[in-house]
Amino acid sequence: MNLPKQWRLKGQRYRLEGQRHSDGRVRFPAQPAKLGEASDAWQPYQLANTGELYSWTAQRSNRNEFDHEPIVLVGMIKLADGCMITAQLTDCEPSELQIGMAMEAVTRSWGKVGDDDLLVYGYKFRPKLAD
Amino acid sequence: MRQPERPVGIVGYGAYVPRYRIAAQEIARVWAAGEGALPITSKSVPGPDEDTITMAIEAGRNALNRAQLDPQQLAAVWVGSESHPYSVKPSGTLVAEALGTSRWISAADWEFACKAGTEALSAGMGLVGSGMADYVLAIGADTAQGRPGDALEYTAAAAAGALIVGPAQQALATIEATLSYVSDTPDFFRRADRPYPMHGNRFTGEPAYFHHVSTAAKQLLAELGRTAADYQYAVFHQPNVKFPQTVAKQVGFAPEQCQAGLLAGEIGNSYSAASMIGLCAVLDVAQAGDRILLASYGSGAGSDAYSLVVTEALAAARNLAPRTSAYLKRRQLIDYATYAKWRGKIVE
Repeated sequence: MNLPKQWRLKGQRYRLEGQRHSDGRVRFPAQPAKLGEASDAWQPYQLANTGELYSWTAQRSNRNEFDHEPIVLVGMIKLADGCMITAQLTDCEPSELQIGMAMEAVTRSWGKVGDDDLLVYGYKFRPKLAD
Repeated sequence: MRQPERPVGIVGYGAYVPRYRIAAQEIARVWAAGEGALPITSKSVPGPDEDTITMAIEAGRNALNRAQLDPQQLAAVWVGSESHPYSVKPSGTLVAEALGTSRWISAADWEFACKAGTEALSAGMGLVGSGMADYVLAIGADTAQGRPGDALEYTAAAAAGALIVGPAQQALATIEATLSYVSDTPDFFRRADRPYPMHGNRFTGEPAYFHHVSTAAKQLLAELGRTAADYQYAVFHQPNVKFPQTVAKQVGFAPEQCQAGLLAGEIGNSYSAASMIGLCAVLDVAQAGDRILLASYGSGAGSDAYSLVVTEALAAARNLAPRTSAYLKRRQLIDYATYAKWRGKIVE
């Protein structure tokens, strides 16, 4: 189950928390400082939660925690701040997806781990809600 | 009635309704040969990756956007529900982390059947009204359970409503007063080890829902020296369409005063969220100066009643997050087999 690992990753999973370098570079997920690198060179940075669908695919042969889903949609989203992220897509069918369409991040269940069902949550993207 | 020393109001609000619906007719097709009267048209169904926590997070984000608050300004995140994903482990801490609050907050789960969310709202009024805090997020969220084939299965739905209580000067709607009316009434219950609740059929009506809701609403109006005619809108807990329509009439409200906040026909009974998203839907359309009466209901049993007045700030704030109607419009019907699979009703 590895409880410490699940606990350590909550910032990136719940809030798209990455890091931004003093020179402007952004990385996701957050990583420890490398040898010789100033410990404060990378500061916490929350990625934009909206963007455009850059590419996507439908996985129809799934294993493990996805084996109950006939189709799992995975997309690359170019975020409003220029970052690219790969994420599972939700609240949509393949027929609704178009390259370039507006997307937004939501927090959803990623499944359960361990015999006692620790619930894991994280980001997914869906077509932006039309108001 | 209760009025805080420091005037308070709703400074942000947000609704969430899942995309999926099952038609009541589809449930009747499976269990009643498609015959008999139906209490609603359709009900919302949580997607396979949704639960009370995920819905609470989205409603909470919408409320924060409308309040234009930094999450770090919240002093409490309270989630009322009867379908918390864990029996032991709070939903509130996870929702707070996802929203990005400070860790120096109160985060807790509230329980009182369908009025767990408004219990949190009343407590938030106390915390802000006493001056102990400036902003409290109160959420009502549920993925309600209904035994296959039972009358409850036609209506037990899913949604979340989030309200941020803050100082009245910043409010989109001030809360003039509140009161609560409760009694020990066994109309509906579920033990921890049971998957589905038990209900008392007709006993859930007159001595339970109607007595508590009408008593609370009438008493609040009486103590404020008002009548239903002084209000533009009324929102009552809505386990179906008929109950809130009937209790509205008992209290003196006309059908048109209740229409904007009556969502049960489209999405069913969203339990702790039901009266709160009804209020969200009203705040989506109300104008400055409008008065709103809100009365929740929780089995077991009790009702919290509130009198609200809309301020000038509402018109601009309502556009800062998706309106309730946006969630109602993205309606995707599913069949009973898909519903049964997603809701864990198929036992291997």
